Amino acid sequence: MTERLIEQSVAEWLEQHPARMVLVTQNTALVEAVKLMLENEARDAYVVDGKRVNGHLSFNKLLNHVFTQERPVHSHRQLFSRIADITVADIMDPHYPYCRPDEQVNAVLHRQLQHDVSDLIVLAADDSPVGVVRLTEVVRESLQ
Amino acid sequence: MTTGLLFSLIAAHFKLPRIALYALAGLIWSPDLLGGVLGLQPGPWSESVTACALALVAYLIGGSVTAKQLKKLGKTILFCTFGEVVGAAVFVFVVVAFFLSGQPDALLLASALAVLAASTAPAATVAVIHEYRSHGPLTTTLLGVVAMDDVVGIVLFSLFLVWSTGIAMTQVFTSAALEIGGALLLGAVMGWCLAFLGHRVRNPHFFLPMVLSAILLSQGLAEIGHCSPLLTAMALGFFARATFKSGGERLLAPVEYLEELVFLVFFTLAGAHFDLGVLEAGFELVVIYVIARVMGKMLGSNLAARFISAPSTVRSYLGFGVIPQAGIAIGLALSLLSHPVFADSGLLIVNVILASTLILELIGPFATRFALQRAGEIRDRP
Repeated sequence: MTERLIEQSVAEWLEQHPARMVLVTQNTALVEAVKLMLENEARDAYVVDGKRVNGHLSFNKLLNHVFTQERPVHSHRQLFSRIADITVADIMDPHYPYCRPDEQVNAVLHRQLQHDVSDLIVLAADDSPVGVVRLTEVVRESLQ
Repeated sequence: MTTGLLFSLIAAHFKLPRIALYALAGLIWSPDLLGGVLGLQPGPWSESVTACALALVAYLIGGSVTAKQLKKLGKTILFCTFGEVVGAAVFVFVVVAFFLSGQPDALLLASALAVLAASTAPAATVAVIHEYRSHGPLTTTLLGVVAMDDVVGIVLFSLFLVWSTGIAMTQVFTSAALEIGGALLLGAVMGWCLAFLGHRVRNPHFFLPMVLSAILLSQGLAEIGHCSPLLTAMALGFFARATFKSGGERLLAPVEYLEELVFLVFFTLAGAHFDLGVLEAGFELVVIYVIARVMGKMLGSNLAARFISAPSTVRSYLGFGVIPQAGIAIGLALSLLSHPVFADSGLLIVNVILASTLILELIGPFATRFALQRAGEIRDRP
């Protein structure tokens, strides 16, 4: 099955495995972003400004801030973010891995594992988001 | 450090305060115990280790807050922080200077203890707030104040070092402007460079080496340029995060993992500098320092809260929540040992701060719990 993945482009993959991507705006509250990710069974969300992707959020990073009060130990950074209501723009990583529709899926798999990203965003030639490659789907397909 | 690590396992197993066991681990190797038997002395290497560890802490504290977050903190937190810091510093200075009046270096010792009294230990306060699930104006103010006063404490200490190491009064103002201004400028430039690198480095394995290199390089450049090393590291953290424009995960998270190691170093080294003779001679000073610090924090926070008409619970009980003192005060005290000005009094300061930290860490959680209970902010007692 791995050979079939090598031959398949990301664009073909998206047609066969359309996973819903979670896009939020810069002012979205952290809790809202978490809810959206849960609704879509996603582990990653992307912060957009119009058609442009500005940053990436991982589920665990969000939970680290949302559930700060449930943790007995805080870093100074967590202390400040707990007091000053923060939005997704305050904690997003402006550098995120992405792929293009014409890339091969096997090349994308390495990027997902290296950066610990489950839902890798696919950007079109004009850098607008066109979908996500979900790691669990790739693994499921390759193990069949 | 190995002893400290082993003792931390014991602390975790028996649910004992780990910092006390770190200090005990260092104490075993102090000149009065095994260190004396085996002829071991904390050498000049310990000064470099302390300086690097303090730089890491200053970098993390500088990077922990953004200008936007500072604006959001609100007047209550900012005024109360100022009040409790100034209250503790002034009270400790006056009381210690009065107690030591007539002795050589009385003013220097009183000033050093006054600036060291400023910072608190957020860990103890956060643990109590978490344990009792407290919620309300006092809890929010308390969290803000314990986060902010470490920032103010480091700035105060840096200013104090500039003043105490100045050669003459006429030179103090010139050298202060150079040391402080130079540190801010150097930190800003290095912060920009770090953020620039952070934007380009893709492999997560390089994040820690990248940040450590920037911190150590900034310390070296600060030494060459006669800038305040602590302010440089703080400015580096602040400007790196501001320029990077995000939560600063890749610039701060890798170093946050080292924070426990830093406190292990501080407490074991402080324990290793334990001197029974010095502590016996300065025991009264420990008691006076503890009382003056607690009273100063209570009075200062109360006056500041009254000044800005904070809620009555904040006015009455905030001071009880800012009693703990821990790693940063110990680290700052240890760093004094490397300054010739403190050749005579450095060891006494370290021993006073170590002993008082242990006392204040024991009293602190009870006082915080009392404050939250009286304020009616403990909703769900376990």
